[in-house]
Amino acid sequence: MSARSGQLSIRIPPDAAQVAAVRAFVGAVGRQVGCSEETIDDLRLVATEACAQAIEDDAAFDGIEVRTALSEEGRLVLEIEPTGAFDPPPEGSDGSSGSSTRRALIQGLFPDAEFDPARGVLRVGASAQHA
Amino acid sequence: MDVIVQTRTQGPWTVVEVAGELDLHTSPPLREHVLQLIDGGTEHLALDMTKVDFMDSSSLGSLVMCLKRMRERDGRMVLAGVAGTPMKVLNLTGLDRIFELADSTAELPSD
Repeated sequence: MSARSGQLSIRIPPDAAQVAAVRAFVGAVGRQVGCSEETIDDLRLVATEACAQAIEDDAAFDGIEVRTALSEEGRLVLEIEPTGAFDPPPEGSDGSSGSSTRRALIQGLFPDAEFDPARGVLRVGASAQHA
Repeated sequence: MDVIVQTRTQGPWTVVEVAGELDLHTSPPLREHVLQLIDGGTEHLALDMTKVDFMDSSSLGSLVMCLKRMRERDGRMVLAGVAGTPMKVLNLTGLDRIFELADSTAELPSD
């Protein structure tokens, strides 16, 4: 785990066994900045889904970086990015039942979620009371 | 961490007690255990999810696979004690209407 300019991040290898560490990280940061337990649960779920998607797509060649930061508006911003030689899945693969279910879950929990398919980066924001 | 706490019998039901966090890493062993039970002739299977505090869509896929196998065998599969994030995932995906749910294993029918 590393901190820089108010940001915290964790990087894991593309290994399903390591995703629990991401959940622990997101949970700790969420509590630190005063997110509600429900919001923390939602962030943990979104982070897990994004990591699992990268691992299943075999897109995260070097690993997966999860970054958190507080915005000026007092929101906790969470970014999940496959790092290294990211190779986006072929067009149309989003139609698979697994990835579409993941996307539906993420959009259901965070309608404002932003996804950059070229880089595989997912970005979500949630209110933080201690910002 | 092994998410399967124990497998026990309750009347006609085989109850698999599950605990912890279900995800891409932890759900495959559970899926294999349940599929083995079904293939071994279990016709009434309940997963006690009371102590499951996290579940992602990968785990849902495993549970759907088990449910499908059970229905192919004309058996019955119930998820008991689902709450919190796991229930939210079931609701968001609409699978709460597909799975048979029970508040707890105490609510499992005896016939």
